[in-house]
Amino acid sequence: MATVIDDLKYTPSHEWVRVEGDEAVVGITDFAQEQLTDIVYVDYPNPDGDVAKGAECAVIESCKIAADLYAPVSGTVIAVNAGLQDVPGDVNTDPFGKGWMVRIKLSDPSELDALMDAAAYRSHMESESA
Amino acid sequence: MTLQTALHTIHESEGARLVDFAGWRMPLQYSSITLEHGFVRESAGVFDVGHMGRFFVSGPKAADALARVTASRIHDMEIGQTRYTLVCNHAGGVRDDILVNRLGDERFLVVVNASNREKLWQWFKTHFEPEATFEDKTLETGMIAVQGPNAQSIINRVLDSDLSGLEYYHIQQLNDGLFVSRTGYTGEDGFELIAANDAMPDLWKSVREAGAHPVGLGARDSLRLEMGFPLYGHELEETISPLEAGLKRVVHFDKDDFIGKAALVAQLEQGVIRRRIAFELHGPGIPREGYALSYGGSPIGVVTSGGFSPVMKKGFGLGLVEAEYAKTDALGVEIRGKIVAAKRVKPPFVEKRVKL
Repeated sequence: MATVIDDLKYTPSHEWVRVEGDEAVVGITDFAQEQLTDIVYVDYPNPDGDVAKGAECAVIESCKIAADLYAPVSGTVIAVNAGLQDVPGDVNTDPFGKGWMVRIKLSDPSELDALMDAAAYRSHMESESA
Repeated sequence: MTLQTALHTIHESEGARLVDFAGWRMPLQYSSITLEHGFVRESAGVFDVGHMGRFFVSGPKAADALARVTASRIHDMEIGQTRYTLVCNHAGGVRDDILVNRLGDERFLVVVNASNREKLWQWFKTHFEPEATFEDKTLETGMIAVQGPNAQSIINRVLDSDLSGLEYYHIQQLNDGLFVSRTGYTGEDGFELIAANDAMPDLWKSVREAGAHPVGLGARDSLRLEMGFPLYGHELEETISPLEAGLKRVVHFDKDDFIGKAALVAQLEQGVIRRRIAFELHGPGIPREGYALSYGGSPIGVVTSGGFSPVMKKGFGLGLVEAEYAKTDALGVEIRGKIVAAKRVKPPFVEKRVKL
């Protein structure tokens, strides 16, 4: 079973969110990288500027399919993990660490309340893999 | 109902990620598509290809029957020879691409795509009877492919016989019901083994113990694409002719009548309107099936298979374009609303290393 980290927040579309003060670090979950298979390309169509919750903020291509990373929260993109453009496989090997994708300065921290906790995400993941 | 091959339990114990493919539950990958791809190019991999259809055709008119439904000569095949050919519809479109193995004067083993097995069964039944008897042995037998530079030493060890004399595109029956052919879909030297279901688990285990890594359908697709090999449902379809698909060499126009011949002769005289091309990307991104191909900003065709080449480390693919653009070198692929530069290349993309 895919790894889920307890103190992170999650979306139904398999992004994880680590809250650091008024910033959120975002990536895709272990479950997501397993489903996608080998990630071979990551790109950021809008590497800076404002994003609305639900907006596409990274393009992830695997051996099999193309996927999008959606902003789990609204705010300003203040950093992207450019290293993934050279070593996209970090998303597979370390999805919660070196595989992080964007850092967003929150414009509306109350949006965090709508995200799932680890327990809720675990049951969501199980329902999708069933 | 989803079918399972004789190796299903083994795949689960090997930790495979299984997916539904053409009505079968098949391994997509065991470890990683890129790693598995590399095993086949650098050492050896073993694939479960039990989903492929296996028909035995026999009787005094077996060759006549097969000749009628395929675009290639059949009668001139030697016993032990394997031939890649096409089954066409009356309009010259491709019903399937198949391998015909001649086992005897009056006996053939035909390997067809899983997705077309039932369709072909009906088609053959309509056009064979009472010329030849044929049996679908797909569910009673299994099939694995051992591919890669180490394939021969692995096979010699596993079968305890020297297969180095088995030529490319030839088949040999070793004992009751075990067939070995020097064929594959990877561009590497390799073998395909067909045996009864109950023999398959031991065969898989011994191939594994001899050093072959398990490889799933994911890498099977990227390996064939690096060779530019067509895949049914992508480069080949009922509505795509062999001449459009770049398979003119497979159509033996000098043979007697066969289904689709009249339409193909007319196409040969009049020319085709589309042609298959191969291309590699010269910009970021990965081409996917269905993406538009363009020239000078105008659409000229569509990507039929696309992906990322683990060997070339770039996006590449096959496409079908308007015939007048088939020799155009500088193309564009529309990826997410942006035109990315691509260059037409002559396949294979990666050096082919089969035993010739």
